[in-house]
Amino acid sequence: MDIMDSGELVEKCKNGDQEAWSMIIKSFSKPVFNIALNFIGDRDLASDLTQEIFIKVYRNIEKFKEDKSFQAWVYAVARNQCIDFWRKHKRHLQVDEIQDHLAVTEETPENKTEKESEIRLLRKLIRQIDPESRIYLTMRDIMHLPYQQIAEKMAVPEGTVKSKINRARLKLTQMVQGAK
Amino acid sequence: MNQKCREIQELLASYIDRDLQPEIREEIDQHLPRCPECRALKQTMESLLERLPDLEEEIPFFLRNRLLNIPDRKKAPNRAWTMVFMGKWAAALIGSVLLFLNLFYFTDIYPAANRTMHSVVSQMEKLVSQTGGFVEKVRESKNLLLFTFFSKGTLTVKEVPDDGKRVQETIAEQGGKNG
Repeated sequence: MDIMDSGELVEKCKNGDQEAWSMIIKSFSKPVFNIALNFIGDRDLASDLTQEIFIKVYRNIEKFKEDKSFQAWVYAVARNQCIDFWRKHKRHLQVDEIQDHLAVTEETPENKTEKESEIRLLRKLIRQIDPESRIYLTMRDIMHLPYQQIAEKMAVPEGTVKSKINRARLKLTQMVQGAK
Repeated sequence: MNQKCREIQELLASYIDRDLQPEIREEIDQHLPRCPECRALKQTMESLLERLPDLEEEIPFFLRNRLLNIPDRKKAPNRAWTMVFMGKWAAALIGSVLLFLNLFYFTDIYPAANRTMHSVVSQMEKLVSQTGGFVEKVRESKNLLLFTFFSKGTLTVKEVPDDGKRVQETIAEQGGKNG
């Protein structure tokens, strides 16, 4: 990941180097997509949101100051876009629309497995955790990143990350117990 | 659930992570066998943390391609969308121009702009008054002049300028009310 923080890659990208942009996509697209997916709980919306995040990264890369961590900057853009998206569409995302959408996709044979329905339930419950904690929980318990890395990527103290994750885990566990 | 259980439950995530000081950990170790509620919560949390990694997915292929093509999109914006946007602006511009022209050509909101017509009217008034009559203007616009005049004598109007091109001769008959 060192190369991601080097000014060289960003500089190349600013100069329109397609290879440099491909490296950025290769390194960040999967984690950003997973943050968006588990933040919203819908694959199509998460794809659109991921695209919006990277368009913003590309358009604002000129503004990135090279004395800072590039990956922290990308994750900050992702977090802000996710939270903005949530604020704008909160009313629809919290309840019916996603459930209706999932109910439609439920009909396909591959989605009929028990594991899929469990994943859908978990995503639905995760959406009820507060937005910031949802992102930390995804990074820690879904993407298995160490606390220290999460703190670096999100530019927040490690203690804050831990306490938010612990609270989110407790809430999610209580909701899982309640859903049984 | 008592206060002790509440405190223990808040520490359960750190307990599972083995991220607690030994004395606190020992306290939880002693509490769990005695409390079925906290024990059940711990088991559910452990099972949940085992299942959560299943939520991680590979990025869809089509999305990866869309992301890789972002620089091209910026360089060459989608022509169809450009046409739509340009079309809207062009329609708005044409509409504004027509609306603006309409003020001058199809209404009499700005009669002062028609100097020729004013000139005709004032000359008409002057000539009619020489015969002891008067002119009452009914309506005027760029291409239309309606008026009523009252005259005692014979009135001859020569050279009524209309855009400087035409010369009109108008004769008003005595003692009539004409338009």
